[in-house]
Formats: sequence, structure tokens, C-alpha cells
Amino acid sequence: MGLPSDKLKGALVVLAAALPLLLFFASVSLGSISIPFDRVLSALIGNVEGVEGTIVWSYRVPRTIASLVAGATLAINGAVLQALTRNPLASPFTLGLNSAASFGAALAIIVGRNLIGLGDPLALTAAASTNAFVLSVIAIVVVTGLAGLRGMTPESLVLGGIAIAYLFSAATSFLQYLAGETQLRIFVLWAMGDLMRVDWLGAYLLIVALVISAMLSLKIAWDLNALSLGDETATSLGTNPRTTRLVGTLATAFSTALVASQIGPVGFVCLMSPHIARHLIGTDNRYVIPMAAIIGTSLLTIADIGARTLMRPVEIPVGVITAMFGAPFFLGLFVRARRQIWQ
Amino acid sequence: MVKRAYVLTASIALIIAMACLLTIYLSSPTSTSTSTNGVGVEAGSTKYPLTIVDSDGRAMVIEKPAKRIAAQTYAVWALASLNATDLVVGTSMASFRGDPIFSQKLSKDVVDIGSFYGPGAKINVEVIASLEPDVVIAPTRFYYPESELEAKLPPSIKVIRLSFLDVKELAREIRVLGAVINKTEEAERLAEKIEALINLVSERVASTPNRPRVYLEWYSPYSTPANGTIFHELIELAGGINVFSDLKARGQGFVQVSPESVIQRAPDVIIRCAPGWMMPAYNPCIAKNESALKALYDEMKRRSGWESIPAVANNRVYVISSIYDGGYGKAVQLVLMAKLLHPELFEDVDLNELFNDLVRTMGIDRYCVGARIWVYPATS
Amino acid sequence: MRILVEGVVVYYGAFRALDGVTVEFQQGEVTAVLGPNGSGKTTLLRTISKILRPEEGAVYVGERDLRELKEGELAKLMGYMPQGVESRFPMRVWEVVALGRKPHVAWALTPRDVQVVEEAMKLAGVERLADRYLHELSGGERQKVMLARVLAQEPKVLLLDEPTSHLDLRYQIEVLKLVRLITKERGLVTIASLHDINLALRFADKAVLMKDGLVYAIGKPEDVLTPENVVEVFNVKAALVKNPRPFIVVEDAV
Repeated sequence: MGLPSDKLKGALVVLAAALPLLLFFASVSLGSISIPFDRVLSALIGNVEGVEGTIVWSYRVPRTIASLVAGATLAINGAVLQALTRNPLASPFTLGLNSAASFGAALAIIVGRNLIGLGDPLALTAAASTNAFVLSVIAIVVVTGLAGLRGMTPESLVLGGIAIAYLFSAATSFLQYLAGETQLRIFVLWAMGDLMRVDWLGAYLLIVALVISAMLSLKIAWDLNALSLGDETATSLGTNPRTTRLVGTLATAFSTALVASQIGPVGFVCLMSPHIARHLIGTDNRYVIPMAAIIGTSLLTIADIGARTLMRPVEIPVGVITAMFGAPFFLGLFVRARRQIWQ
Repeated sequence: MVKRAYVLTASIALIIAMACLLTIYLSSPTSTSTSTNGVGVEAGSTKYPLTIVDSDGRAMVIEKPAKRIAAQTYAVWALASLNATDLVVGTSMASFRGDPIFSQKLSKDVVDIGSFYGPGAKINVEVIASLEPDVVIAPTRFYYPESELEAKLPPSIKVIRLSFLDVKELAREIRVLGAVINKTEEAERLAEKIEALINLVSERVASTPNRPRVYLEWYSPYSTPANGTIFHELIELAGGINVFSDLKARGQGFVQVSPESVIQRAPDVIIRCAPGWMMPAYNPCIAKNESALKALYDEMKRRSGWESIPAVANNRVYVISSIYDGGYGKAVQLVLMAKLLHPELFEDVDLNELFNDLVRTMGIDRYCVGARIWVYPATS
Repeated sequence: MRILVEGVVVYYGAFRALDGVTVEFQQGEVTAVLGPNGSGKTTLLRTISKILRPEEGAVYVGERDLRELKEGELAKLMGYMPQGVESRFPMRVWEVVALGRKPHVAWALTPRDVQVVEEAMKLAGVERLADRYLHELSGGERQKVMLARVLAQEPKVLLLDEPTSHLDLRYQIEVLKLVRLITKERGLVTIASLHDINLALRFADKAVLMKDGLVYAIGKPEDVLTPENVVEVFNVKAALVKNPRPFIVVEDAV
């Protein structure tokens, strides 16, 4: 891995893009029910008759699209936040987003309150989604506000995020304590993160989230590179660290909020994907971002395939699988000991 | 001299022997005279002490009518149907928190004893002991083990296991309950009503070979009853076939299934249960309209790929409010299910009448201010 | 082109770090900014590079007020090398130097950009290290890499904040020799804050001596760094020795 030429990196990214395509086919072919591959293919080209055709087209295809899109979005958001905070262990969730989203869902599921009056307050899933989104947005605003008061430095963002995370986490624990059995179970399943809930509207929202993240991140890719050498150097290179951090945080957090509202707080993808991408392709964000997107897409889709097949005919929430990736990943980091991180 | 001693000894021996025999005879449980502990109760036509057999097959003697009862949720509902909620000193208050209507029937002093149902359920035996109840009515050992209950309570507190959930046992359990609280007449009338309903269903269902395939979804999405559970049995008795009857029950019996498997099994009828006892918007006695039930209905119909399921395509999706479904209410639920599965066989049965009777029997008729919607789409 | 700082007052919170500084920097000259810690050296450099805004006064680049210049434009003009190197990610030398092209680049690096980067590395003497990770290098090598980065920017103004502190003697000389060479070759305005007054005497064309946020003296280094000024500003007794070049020998604290 030595040649720093743009061409080689570009080629690598293009090559890697083949992976999500492969995974698309794997994901629609596999599931809690066995469907022969030829039936899958015929369903994909429009022959949707019969139960199997319906399952492939109406259930697996949207779900696969969701996992591909959400995985990419989460990975990009993670990459951007890591660059903005100069912290390879940062993710939108360390900004308190998953705690806020969980709290919103807990409000809907356990207390039965929908914050913005859309739909029936007791159509639990829909209420949980909108609440999760609203609370996440509130959390971002509070965190960036707090950070802004202290100069919008990486440290202030991280500290603000941790504070908000603890706040919402405590509130959620309290609600869980009060909850009845059924509500508790529904909430816990929600909080694990699950792709099952995504319907076509949800899929559109996920695509919107991806577009926001992709467009923003590529636009500020050079600024993110500049930030890696410190705020002062970045300023001298023509980047405004405060503005970049504010806009970057708001946009990625907003996009993450959209994702979390649809699939729950799925962890680790935003943390691991940029890491792996950087290991493969260097620290230039113009390449890290697309590469991380591809890795995130693949990770989440693989996890979802696992979620749907490991315990057939039951489907496990995908968050359980991604969490299982987490431990070996971090242990691996530890063992390989990239000195830089620990210095 | 010696002869007189012999006679004296023999007479005394005889007297003692007769006294023993008399004692034995008198303390025999089949005696219909007053009990030997001196309490001597005779109330109405019930003679105490009497023997009952609980739903775990254990025989026990009831010395006197129970005046203080620590009861599980379904037993409280059953007590209400016998107009005896004043006897309740302790129960699982969590079950009643979401039902302000029924809560009015419980005294303010009723204490929370914990929960019998669900994973991690814990009953607080110290609290029960401190209440000094005459009896504890708990569900069968399948739901809650002896090691956690009888083993930890003082032997003076009788634990009677009655679930009020198993259709086959409903009538018998009501009769047992009546005996325990000295309301045998009311209990008998209610038991007969229950038996009438059960027989009605079984006869009419037997008259047709038609057995619709049913997917029943419990409170949380894709949670369905496996083989060997109450709801599985309910479906079968109502003349249906549980599409997931091949799955065996673990623990208390609801299993998570995947959406794909539901689509694959193509049920003819889908029944979704809404926790009416937990949330006022689903409670027929509180909810002003059907919107909450309808929301669940709409959500189910919207699920990706579900349009192809026969139940959805033929509009045989129903959301039912699950509340008071123990004891008499369980029999009512059986009729409801049978009518949903075989509408043509039960045209003469008015569900609204039946629900109203349930509510009257439970003694909450005058509190029941809601729109009394138990099923969506509206079915009478 | 010149840089004019006129009557600039800068606050850090409530602290008046620059108390009305006026000084001019010329093209093709290396100007050393000297003074004890807290005298305002770094503050002055930061103000010139627009990282800090003056409360009063103005900075002019050529004829234009600094305030008029947009960030992007400024970045093409001025290269700023701060003290210390921050990088939490494992970056390769080549990537770091290439960052210097950012103000001139829209997205992709053109062949010319690549050429500039390579020349900058060569100039700074780090082209053999192109593939190495920054954190693997010695302090001196890292400093040279940062210099290469600044050079890759092709600036007209070079602002160096303590480019030689924490360096071995050898690197100190190498770096400053390089800086002087480039300044002369390309006609840059070079402003370097230095800790070591002897390095200023050796490599700078002009010296600006600062004390308590004000300019104490400006002029040729040997004219500014008189024993009297040294005592006043640095609180040390010193003597100026010629060997044959002038340097200051510190005798004692005052």
C-alpha cells in the first residue's frame, strides 16, 4: 500500500463498489424462508406471482434497499464526525443521538405520547419513529448550542454529546422501570435496531438521509482534511473550523436522526466503517467517505442477512448482530495497536 | 378387689377408645356437622369445612369461607363476576394501573403483591404473608413454580391454583371459587352460563368441516402463540387452525416469527390483540371511539407484502381488545373468536349483547362510559 | 507587496494581548519576531493570518485590508505554520504535504498540483519520507514536513510560529537556512517568531522585539538586540560578541 496516487485510490473505490451489488443479490435471496435462487431471479425481473415472489419483491427488496442505504448513510456520518472532532472513536451516537432517539421511542411505547400529533398516538411504531426523530433533533440542537457557547471545539462537541447522552439515557431507564411487561419488550426490541420496520415511506426517508449526507460530506471533504492538522492550520488553509463543524454536525446528525427514526439506534456501523476505510485507503476524506459508505453498506447488509437467517424462522433484530461485530473489531484494534490512536 | 380393678380399667379403656373413635369420626372431612376447631360455620347452603381440588389437581380443605384473598389478575376478574372484589386484599396492581374503570371496584387499601406472569415475574411473598390472607389464588404451576410460592409462605396460608384461562376448566374453576368464598349459588349460575357458551361453540363448530387457518398476533408485532398455549387452544376450539401450530411453546408460549413466514403460511384470518387492560385507548369501557384499534388494523394491512395474504385480500383481519379475558370473559372470548372464524354459524349470536352481559356480570356496567368497541372492524 | 500592521489591539477574553502594534514587513525579507513568552509573538502571527480579529487597528496585505480578503483568497496568499503538530489520524507525509494544495484545488489534484507537492518535499528535504507515517518521524523531520506543507501552498507570505523550538541544533540551522533561501528566491514576505535570539541574529534581515503586547524595537537584528534592550525585555544580563558574526552571550538573570 504505498502509492499515494489518486488514480489507484479511485480504482480501489470503484472495485469495492462491486461488493454492495453482490450483497444486494445475496440479501434478496436469503432470509428466514428458503427460496430457490431461480425463483428469486424471476421475481426480480417482475414475475411476482405466488407467495415466494411476493416475499422477494414486497419484503426483501425494500428491506435490502433499506440496509444498503442506511449502512452507507451511517458510515458517512461517522466518517464526517470523526474528521470534525479529530477523534477516530467519534460517531453520531456519541453525540447523544441514540439515547435521545431511544428516549423518544420510550415515550411513545411506554408512556404513549406522540410529540407532534401525527397519526394515532397509540400506533406504536409510527409514534416511536416520529418521536425518535424529534428528540434526536432536539438533542442535536442542544449539543451544538452548548458546543457553540464554548467555541465549537471538538472537545466541547464531545462533552456536550456525552452530557446529553447521559441525560436521555437516565430518563429512558426510568421509563423502562415504570413500563409494563409488553411495553418493555416492545421498547427493548425497538432499541436494538431493526430493519423490519421500514416501509416504502421509510425507505424514501432513508434515501433522503443518504443524499443529505453524501452531498454535504463530499462538499466539505477538503475542509475535513484540513481540520485533521488542527483548527489553526485549517484556518490558514481557508477552512472555517467553527462553521464547518456546525454545518457538518447539524447535517450528519439530522441525517442520522432520520435513519435512527426508521431503524432504531443501530450501533457500530458508523464507528467501524470509517476506521476500516482509513486502514485501506489512507486518511484523505475524498476517498475515506465513499469507501466508508461502501463498507457501511456491506456491513449492515451482511448483518441483516445474518439477522434473518441465523435463527430461522425467527428474525433477530439487526442491532444484535452489529453489536456482535463490535467486540472483535475493537479487540482487533487493540491488538494491532495503531500507535497513533494511543499517543 | 382385683376384679373391680379389672372392670375399672376396662371401662376407662373403653371410654377412652370410644372418645378416640368419636374424635376420629367427627374430624372426618365428610362430616356435615360443625368443624372441630370450634368456629362452626354454616352459611347459606354451603357447609364448611369442605374439600376442593385446584387446577393443579391438589385437594385441599377449606375450613371456612375466605374473607381475605391475595389473588392473581384473572382471579380478581373472576371474583368481580361473583361480586366479591371486596375480599381482595392484595393483587398484581400493575395489571390494573391502565384500567381506571375496573380499579374502582378494588378497595383503596389493596396492596401490590408483584406479578405472576411474564419472564422475570416476581411475587413478593413477604408482602403476601404480611397481609395474612386466608387464601392465595395463584395461576397453575406452569406459570409460577411452587418453589417460589408455597415453599416460601407459612403453611397457614393456603395457596389455591386456579388460572381461569383454560377453557376446559373455566366452569369448574368458577365453582371452586364459589365454594371458597361461599357464593356457591352465584357461582353455579355463572358456571352454567359458561358451559352453555362453550357447548354452543363446540356444537356449531363440529357441524362444519371448514377450518380457517388463523394467524394470531399478540401485543407486540410478530409475537404469536405456539402450540400448547391458551390461545392456540382457543383457536382450535373456535374451529380454526393456528398457522404456527408446528412451533412448540417455550416458557409461557408466545414466540417471535418473521414476517416472511407469516406471508408464506398464508392465513385465512388474522386476529390482532390489543392490550385493552393496559391502555385506555384500547379499553372498550373508556375509549370514545375505535381509532386506536383502527390504527393497529391499518398498520397490519400496510405491511410490505401482506396484500398477498388471503386474510388481508379478503378483509378478514380483526383487531380485538383483550380485557377481562379470564373466567367468564374467556368463554366470551371463545364465542367472539368462533364468530370471527365462522360468521355464518353464529349469525344469531349478538356479540354486543354478550359483551354487555360480561360487563354487567363484572359489576362495572355503570362505570363503563366508553363506546364499548371490542372488535374492529365492527362486528356484532 | 508588504504586510502592514497598524495600531492593532487584540484581546484574549479580557486580556489585552496586543496593545497597539504597528509594524511593516517587506517582500524578500526574513523578519524575526522576538520576545519573552506572553509578549504577543504568536498573537501577532495569528492576527496577521486572520485567525484572530483585532479590536482596533487593521492589517493590510499589499493595499488591501485583511478584512476584505475572503478565507479562500487569503489561504492562497498566506501560509501559516503553527507551533506543534496535531494529528490524531495516522497520516502519511505525502498526504500532509498535499494538504497544502487545498486552497488551490477544487476536488482532484492536477498533475501540476502533484508536481508542486513533490517539489515542496524536495525543497524541505523530505522526499524520501513520502510514504512514512507522520508519527513515525523524529521531531525535526516532522517540522520539515510541516514546512513542506506550507511551501506546497505556494504562498506569498510565510508565517512561521516558532519553527525551531524543540529541534536539534542541526535541524534548527537547516530549517532556517531553507527558509531564508526560499524567501530570497521567491521574494516572499517571511515572518518567523523565534525563541532563540541568536538564530535571529544569524538568519533574519529584520528583527521586531516585543514586550507586553507592544513593539519595543524594530530594525536590523544587531541594532535591536543590544545588551540594553535584552536586559529590559528579557531580564537577563548579556553581552554582544562578534565571532566574527554577532551573537548574544547570556551572563546572568537580573
